[in-house]
Amino acid sequence: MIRPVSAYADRISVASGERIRCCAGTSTGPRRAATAAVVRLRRPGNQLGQDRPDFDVVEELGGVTLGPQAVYPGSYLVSENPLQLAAAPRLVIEFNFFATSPGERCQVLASCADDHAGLVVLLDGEGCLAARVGDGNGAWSNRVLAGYGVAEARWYRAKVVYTHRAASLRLGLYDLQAGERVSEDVFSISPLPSSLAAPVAFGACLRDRLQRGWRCEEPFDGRLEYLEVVAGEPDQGDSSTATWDLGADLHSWTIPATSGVLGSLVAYNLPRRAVCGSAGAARDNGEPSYTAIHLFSDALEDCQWQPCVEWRVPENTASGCYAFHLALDGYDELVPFTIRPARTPGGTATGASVALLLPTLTYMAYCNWRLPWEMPIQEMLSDRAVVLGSEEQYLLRHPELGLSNYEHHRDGSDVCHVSWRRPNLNMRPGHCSMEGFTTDLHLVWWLNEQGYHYEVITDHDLDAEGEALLTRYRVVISGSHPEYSTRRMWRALRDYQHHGGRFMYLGGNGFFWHVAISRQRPWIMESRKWQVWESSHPCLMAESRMAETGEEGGMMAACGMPSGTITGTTMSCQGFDHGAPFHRTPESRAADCQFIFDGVAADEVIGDFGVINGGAAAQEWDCIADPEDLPAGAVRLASATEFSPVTRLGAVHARIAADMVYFSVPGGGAVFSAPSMSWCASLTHRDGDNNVSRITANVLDRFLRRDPLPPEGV
Amino acid sequence: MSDVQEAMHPELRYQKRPVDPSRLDLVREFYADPLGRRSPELQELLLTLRAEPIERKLVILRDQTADTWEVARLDGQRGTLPRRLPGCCFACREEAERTIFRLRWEHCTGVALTEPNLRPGG
Repeated sequence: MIRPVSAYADRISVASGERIRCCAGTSTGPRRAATAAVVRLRRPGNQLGQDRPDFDVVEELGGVTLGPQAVYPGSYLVSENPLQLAAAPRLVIEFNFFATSPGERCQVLASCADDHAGLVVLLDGEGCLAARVGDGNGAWSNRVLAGYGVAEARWYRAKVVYTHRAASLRLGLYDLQAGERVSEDVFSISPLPSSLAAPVAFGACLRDRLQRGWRCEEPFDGRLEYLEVVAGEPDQGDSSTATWDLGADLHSWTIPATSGVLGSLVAYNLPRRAVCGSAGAARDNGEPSYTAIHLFSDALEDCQWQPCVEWRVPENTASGCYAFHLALDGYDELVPFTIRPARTPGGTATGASVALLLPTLTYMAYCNWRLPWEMPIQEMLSDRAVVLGSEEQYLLRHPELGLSNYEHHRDGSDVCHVSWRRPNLNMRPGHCSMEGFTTDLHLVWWLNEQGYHYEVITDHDLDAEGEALLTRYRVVISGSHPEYSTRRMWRALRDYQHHGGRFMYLGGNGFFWHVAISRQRPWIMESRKWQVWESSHPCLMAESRMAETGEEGGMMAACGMPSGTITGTTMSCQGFDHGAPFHRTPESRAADCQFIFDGVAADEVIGDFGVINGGAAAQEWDCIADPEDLPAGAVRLASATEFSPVTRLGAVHARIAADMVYFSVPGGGAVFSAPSMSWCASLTHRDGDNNVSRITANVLDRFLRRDPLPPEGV
Repeated sequence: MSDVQEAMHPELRYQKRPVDPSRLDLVREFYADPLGRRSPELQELLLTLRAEPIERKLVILRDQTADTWEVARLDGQRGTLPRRLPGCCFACREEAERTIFRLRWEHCTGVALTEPNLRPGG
């Protein structure tokens, strides 16, 4: 059954007293009635089997009507102020461009037009510079600099001059890399617009105004640089020149004007800033020269769907994992969000001592992940054919919902920005790949069943509030796959441990990629995973810094933030076929570690079960950190090594093993790591009556006690 | 090829490897337990078969409501639906896995897998 509806919550984390909205749309057909509710998620489902997610209804929200909602991908820039040329307009638009997929379709480079009148500069379907002029009555004249198709990935300068009095249009194309004019021609045009009054846009043609930005058409793939618009008659002293500095305020989605009356350019749909221009990777005072911006025709920042329901979280609602539940034609859509603890600086009103830190940045990175069927390595590592559940089949049908951090844009560029303001079909309580949020719900079930009083916080909360958020709790538990982290998150976890905090790392591949959250638009995450970029062109390698912070992106370890410092482990390997159990080491029998294995025999096999590939070590796992990153006194407690030979394809470290690690930190802090993405999914085996559950409970119970942890005196 | 390309695209190595049509013992091993643990030789064969490009990639469509597993083929284009293969909708995952194995084997060897091949000693 293909899902009839897709939806997203406009926030990922909300507190009591705040509002959260659900935005939902049907893919086709007339408007249809549905019912909405807020539910608290109890246990994940499993699309591969017949299990449905388990939840409790918190509040019925009544009937809603759902209809198709459109999506308009494609990045563009638009001026804050419209151009206003009342009579006999003259307009010059000039800029450098670097087309990354010319000739595939019409792509608008610049425009100053509405539905009826104006000037549009574009590359036509043959990749030739062209222009359209609309007369104000719906008639458009098209002129093409025919026979001079631009080359892919080459810098050109375009100059387009429209003169009403001369009824002419001049198109000029210059090859910046060859330093020569390619072609220039003057065309007569008729009829003409008597006035021009529209915002100036780069990278797309504007149609209708949306709540934020515009519905745009014919988006461009490639880079733009040195943008200039001259409006009016310079000969008569009546002109205005607008220019912008693409290298300024790189963290911002607003590009400041350096002159003119058009105001700043506002960027939508995730263009990439901090990229090199026609001068290549040339450095200015030792800094890379970021003079350009990269636009993507398939990037999507915000669906901007009309909310179908809004919910005000009642006061004193328990923190946890919740979802909007939409029931439509026998189909249940669950749209998850979290209710975080109250925003009470300095303490928690509920007295919970445990925080579950949900890896929301990782959920974002994998949002609408297509890699399992777009790259063969995923099936090779899985040792099974690719299974497409209802979410994946929906994504195949709807590419407009945007890409994950693992795909390439239509023009072959790596995806560096992802947004949560769109349906995230991977973040579903029964997603068939059984990882991420689905796995974390096993941990949620276990915490509930064991009766722990806990609260749910997210990566986004931690990045915003830092260590102060963690110090409310005696123990912080990670989710199953906290792969992405900001510098502030990593430092907060490190400092928390040094100030007596106790951390349970129950995931794999943790703290691997360094990313940033946009301050202006916190629904956007930026990465620069340059270590896996397939091109090592010097220009691209000069773009390893994140525009948001100016910091190096890529691996945390390469940025001076090794995972080993805060977990005692480092990424080892990935393999999605068969899991493996842990076996205890002789060191685990020391008295200092006895509390961890209370009730577990010295030779007991740990975790030879679980819903993810039958083992507590599976999917992605970590080994003990290399000596230079390993905290003093860290003990390797147990290891899982019985992985299939196919995992060698996914090895990141010479040691292919999942190593359970414990260490205490001077000042009362401590860390326990069971570093595998499937550990949490093994907790629910036999309804929690198993040794993975026992070990986890042993550690959590001991970490909750205030008295010092062994070794004594630390 | 850079180290990164080498690591992320192992299929480029495996796509060049021939499949020996006489190794029906490996076919029988797979058919006996499509989701089980493999011998090293079968593992290598599966890596070769699975290195097929996305333009003709075989996948399984899971319908949880109907409880079916159906074999389909992708065309490599975002926005187009997989083409369902006639007569390849099954009640269990294992049968869909066997069908994909058979189609890939026949593509790589040019030799049809018939029922007698699949029996022990066949």
